[in-house]
Amino acid sequence: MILQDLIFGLGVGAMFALLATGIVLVYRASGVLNFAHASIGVAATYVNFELLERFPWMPVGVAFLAALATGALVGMVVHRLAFVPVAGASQVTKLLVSFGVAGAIQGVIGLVWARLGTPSMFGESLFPTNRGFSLADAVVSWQRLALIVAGVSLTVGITWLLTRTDFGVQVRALAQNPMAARLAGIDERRIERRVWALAGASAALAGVLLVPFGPLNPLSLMGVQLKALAAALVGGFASLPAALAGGLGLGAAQELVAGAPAPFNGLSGVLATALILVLLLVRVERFFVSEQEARAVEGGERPVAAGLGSVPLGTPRAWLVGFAVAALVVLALSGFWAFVAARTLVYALLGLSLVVLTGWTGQVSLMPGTFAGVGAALAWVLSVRFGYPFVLVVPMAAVATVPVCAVAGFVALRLRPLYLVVATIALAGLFEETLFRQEWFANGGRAMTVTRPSWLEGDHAFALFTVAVVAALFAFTAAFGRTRTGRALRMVRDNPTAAAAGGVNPTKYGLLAFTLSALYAGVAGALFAYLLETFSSAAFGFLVISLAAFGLSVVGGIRSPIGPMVGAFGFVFLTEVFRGSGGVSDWSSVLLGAGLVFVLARDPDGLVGLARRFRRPFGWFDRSSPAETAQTTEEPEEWEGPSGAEAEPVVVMSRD
Amino acid sequence: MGHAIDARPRARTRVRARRSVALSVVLALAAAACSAEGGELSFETRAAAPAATSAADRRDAPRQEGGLFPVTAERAAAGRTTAAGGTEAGGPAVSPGASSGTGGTTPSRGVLKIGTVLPLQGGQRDFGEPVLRVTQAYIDEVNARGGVGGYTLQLVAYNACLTCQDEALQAAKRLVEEDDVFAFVNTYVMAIAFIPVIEYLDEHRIPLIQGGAEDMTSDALSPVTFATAPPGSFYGRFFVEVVKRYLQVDRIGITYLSVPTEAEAIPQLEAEFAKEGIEVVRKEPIEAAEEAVTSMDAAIARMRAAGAQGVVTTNPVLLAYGRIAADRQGWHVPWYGPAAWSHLLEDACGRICDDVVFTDTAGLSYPDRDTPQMRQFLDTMAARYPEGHTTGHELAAWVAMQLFTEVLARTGADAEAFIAEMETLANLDLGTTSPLTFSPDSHMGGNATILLKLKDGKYVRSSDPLNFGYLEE
Repeated sequence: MILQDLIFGLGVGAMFALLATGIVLVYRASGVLNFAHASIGVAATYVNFELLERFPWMPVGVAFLAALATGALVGMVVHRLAFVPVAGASQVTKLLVSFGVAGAIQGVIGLVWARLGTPSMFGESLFPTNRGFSLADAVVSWQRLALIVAGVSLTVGITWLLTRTDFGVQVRALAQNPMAARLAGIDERRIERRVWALAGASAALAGVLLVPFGPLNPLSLMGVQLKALAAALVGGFASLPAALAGGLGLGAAQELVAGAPAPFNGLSGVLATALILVLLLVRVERFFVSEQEARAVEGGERPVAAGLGSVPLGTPRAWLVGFAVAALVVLALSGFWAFVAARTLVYALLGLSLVVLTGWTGQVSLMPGTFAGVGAALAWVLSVRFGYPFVLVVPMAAVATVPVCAVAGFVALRLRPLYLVVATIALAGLFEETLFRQEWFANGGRAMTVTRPSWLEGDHAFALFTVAVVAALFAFTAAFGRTRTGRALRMVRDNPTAAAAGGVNPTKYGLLAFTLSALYAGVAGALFAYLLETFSSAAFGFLVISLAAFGLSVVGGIRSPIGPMVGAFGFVFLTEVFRGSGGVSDWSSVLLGAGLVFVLARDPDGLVGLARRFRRPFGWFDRSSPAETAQTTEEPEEWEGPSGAEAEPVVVMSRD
Repeated sequence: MGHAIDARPRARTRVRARRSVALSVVLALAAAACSAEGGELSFETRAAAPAATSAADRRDAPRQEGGLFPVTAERAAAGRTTAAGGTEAGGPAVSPGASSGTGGTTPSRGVLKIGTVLPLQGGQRDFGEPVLRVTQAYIDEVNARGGVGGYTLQLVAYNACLTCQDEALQAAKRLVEEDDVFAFVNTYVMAIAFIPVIEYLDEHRIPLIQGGAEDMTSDALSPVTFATAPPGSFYGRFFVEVVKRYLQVDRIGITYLSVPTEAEAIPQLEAEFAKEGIEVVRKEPIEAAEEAVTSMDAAIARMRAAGAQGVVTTNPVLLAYGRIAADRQGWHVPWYGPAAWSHLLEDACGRICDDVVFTDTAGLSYPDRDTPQMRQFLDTMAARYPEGHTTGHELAAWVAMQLFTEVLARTGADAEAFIAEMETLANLDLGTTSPLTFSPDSHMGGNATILLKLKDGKYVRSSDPLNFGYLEE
């Protein structure tokens, strides 16, 4: 049976490797960790099966080629419309744009095939899925064999392309030293376009070969894509053979665990995420990638764009005055809108946790929702299981969130920025599959109910309480950001080496940022629990809250506390204002993705950055302290180290 | 007539894989209901309930009188079912085209809003849009015939994602507090998102009427929620009886999604199989529905090596792709799993599932009944969506609307009276599903389901309606 599981596992691993190839290619050429890769493949797959259904006379090979062409075309279009405008932006920006593109492609698929009808796929694929050959008692379908052959061939072929052709040399030159490549006359856009076309075609190949094994829908391949990311990181997002090895190894490990006796066979999902974390921590890529290559890739990683000029923090007094006004507004609202206001503020607080962690310290975390889930579950544990009163539950839940989330901080401080993104996704999955299913911690994943005290029963009362808590934390953050410690955090983000030279311990400040971020998320989670009153841990899934909090922070402007406040207002409050009455529109997904690209292409600091061009409003906001105003609006405050000495911003990631 | 609603060409079908996944959640919750009785399965709870007015008592009586499914033209034309007695002739009081109970002769009372919250955008759109489409179609038809009890119905639908609990609660609060809806309908795909909403609706005494149910861990559901599906406890028994009587094997493998709603039901299910002398030789958890793509081949090989003579699954995706993987390996043993007329089985599995795959209607609807009510449903949908593909799953949404309007016609827009009337319904035959019976201790009104299997790649009936406590061919 072990041999059999191994054979099946290699087939599964080939799927991971097939997708990983395109992810690595795009990352090397454009610096984009492309979460839309699977969606490009799915779009092409729809075209393939639609052609086969609409034109029964069409040979499957022709439809297959059409799908490859579609994948290449979609890849080029995505590159031109979404990623060229943000070419000089930070990795955070590009990452978020890729999420937006994925949503937009899924929306387009929904729009098109809502009319055409989802094509059925079984029995019309390139290779038969129901026939195969026996090998060591295992029956391997021809389709599965095709996957393995395609995965290996694609890896070998593209590796050859990158190492033996002029095109490959140009791609590698761009990846290692864009400026030198440009000086050598390499047309960057043209090379990138070709790479995106190649990656799009490889995604299409994966989709056409893979989908006959499962249902076709806009979200197909998303689960496989996460495993493909794990495969890609084995090679440090630089080595294709290592990605192939990573994919095959992960697939084999997954199936071998699945083949173990119960209950261990239920751990295959946990094992995959745990394996990702281990691979990250031991920096497995150093066995596959040369030091030079690793430095080249890592050198291009910058989680938050630097040299962008200052962004306002807001003074503590301005925040308190602002929230006092907000409280008055809440009193004037109906109960429902008071609820919406409270929810808006909870999301803003989650965003604030990312400002400290990502915006200031440069550690990209995609698990704020997970931290909030920990806070919410702890609120339930403390109030229901231990009977603590509400006034103690919220602060205790927030403080207790910190050690639980310290595991993420422990991992984060040992990883380079790109790996941290992947690690937080893996950690979010690990939390969801383990801690969030515990009876003692999250009621086994079932509903948890907390009861508000009588003085907070109404929507108005709870909204006012939320205003007070959030006001205190925003004012504290504004004050903290102006302290020596706050500036040191930003210095660590921009140049850890310079920070260390200036007496700033990057590890210490990184840990501090994680602690503060977890604290904020814990408060947000506890407030979330009492806002809903009945909830389950599923509410805090990666795709539910984390992406929303991350997105609203980046679109609003992740370097300033004003960013998440603006983003949350748009994401929660304005969305509710403009909520349709019964309309069904997939255009919303498409427009949201397009809007996201537009805002970030205009200014990497999002809406705050756009508003910064009209300084007057923020001049008012910061005018309470002329000295601070001068510092925050005229000088690049990120570059003022703890000693007060100014440093020159380092301009990075600019390809123009 | 076999498969009356499946007459459109296959090329026009829309694979409802994700809808099937959603339904599987509902059905998995049904299986999870096995754990509702202090960790031990008890399928006799309802029948053993001592109250003379319990649903089981009232359901049993008419069945003995042959009142379950003698659906004839005469009976359908006989008029409305009365609530209190519960044994009179069936037929919808309020349905499109039926004058009795509709607003044709009643003075107009204005617009009555009803609300629903569904995933209507992005990748999850396929979950919500068909339900919304059917619900709106029903309301339009009713309104075109004068409304219900003098009311013109207006549907207000808001979007929320399948697991977005805060978004769903916000949408529900808006419906109740800003739009002033009288009731909610057809939100049963929102099992996870509605966790806070159910409490909220209960607190505000807003009735919720639908096909499946968000929370099936208790037959009573919430005090304001009513579902036309059979109680969860029914399914625990049904699994075992089908394996014993139809699959006729005593060594089985079980494959299920490794999510709490499905995984927690497995030990209880396993224990119940053991009581009948059926051995579970291998359990294969699959991490997620999309993992069926990667993991089914190996899972099949392991179940086969363990000596399984048949396979039971709690999920339609695993049923379809598991059977395909089994066929690849030349392993032709019988399968059973809930698919509820999902076209995933027909489209993806087709003839490969012939004769070896058993499934059932989940009690949500009986698409092959030949009644005036069924013809109204088919005619309405065919007229509105000639290119569309109507499923048994969508019929469940129609059934819920029939039930809602039936009771609304009796009580008017009085929520407390509406809820009280719902709890007195007994053997209400709407012509599109099994007769419905509710009581204060059971808000899940269905009382039977039909076993299906695939023949020539299409569903065919494999049994008459199957009921609690015993099976009847």
